[in-house]
Amino acid sequence: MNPLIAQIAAHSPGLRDWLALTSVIFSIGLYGLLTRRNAVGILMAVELMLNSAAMNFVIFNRFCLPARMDGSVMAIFVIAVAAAEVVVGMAIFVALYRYRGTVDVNQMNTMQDPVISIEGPGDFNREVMKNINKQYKSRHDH
Amino acid sequence: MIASAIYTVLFYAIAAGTILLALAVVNTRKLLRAAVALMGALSTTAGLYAMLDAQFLAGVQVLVYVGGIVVLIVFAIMLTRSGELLEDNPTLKRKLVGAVISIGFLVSSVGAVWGSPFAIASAGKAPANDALMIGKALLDYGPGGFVVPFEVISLLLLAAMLGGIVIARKTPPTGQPFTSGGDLPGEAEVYHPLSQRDDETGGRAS
Repeated sequence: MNPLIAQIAAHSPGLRDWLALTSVIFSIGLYGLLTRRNAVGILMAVELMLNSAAMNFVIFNRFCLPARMDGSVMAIFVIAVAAAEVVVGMAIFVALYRYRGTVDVNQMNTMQDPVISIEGPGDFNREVMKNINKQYKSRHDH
Repeated sequence: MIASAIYTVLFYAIAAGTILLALAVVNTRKLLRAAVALMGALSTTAGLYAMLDAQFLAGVQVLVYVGGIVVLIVFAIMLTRSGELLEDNPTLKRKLVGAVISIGFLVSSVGAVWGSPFAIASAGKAPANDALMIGKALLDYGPGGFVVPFEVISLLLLAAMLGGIVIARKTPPTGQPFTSGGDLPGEAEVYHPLSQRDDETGGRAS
């Protein structure tokens, strides 16, 4: 037998190698989550993290309980939840884009009180905010 | 022996490809390219599932993730016009904070994995027909069955579908709250279709 093949076969990936791989993918997703500013980019990073977490279920199933299928079932549930999350997230982004014209997460402070946030910190679009405040006040005056 | 060597080489090759594609997902400035890289990363993950003896799950991954979720994300990119603009490079502080937190998580989790003993079952053999086993487990109402989460997930998908339609719908009926318009100040006036149509016909008449 060729010694090189024997040496390669001796390094067959075990449980810890698989878990290290999913940890690396999860960390990359975490980095993207913290550095992206576009909301769709953040959603993609979250997809990476969900994907690696679902793979952990399958890995533990394969190595610790190979006769059963519980890990695969849990991974299917995770995939279904991810699909639901993407649908709702995309709907929110489309509605938000229609209202604000951007999906930059640094400018998402709609849930603050509009009267307060005009003096608040941050690089918010002040013209839009003043307009909203005017309509808000005129609606609440009468 | 040769099969084991091939398995090892395949694992490291696919793992390296997955990591590179994942790095492309988080680092590309054009979001459409990031979506294509995400498609590649999810496809290689399907390959990893196949290597873990979960063939049915590999198929589900390709069908749902690559065929469904990535297409939805591409739709989201195009509908919000994120593909046209280059995303700003994150500031150095932001990159540094992200790198420190993610590398800290990586070190701690890999350290925990390396330091803890696992009950590895070496003798077990994966079932030959995993789709049959998964189907039986999903509809089994005895102990160890998953019929209740299965029903709950179907309700969740229905709710997500309805919620997506309601949130992203363009013109809300007048006087109805909980839509993208109407309850936000100023939007009903700006986006009301009837008033715009009146303006257009008025312009043509005069």
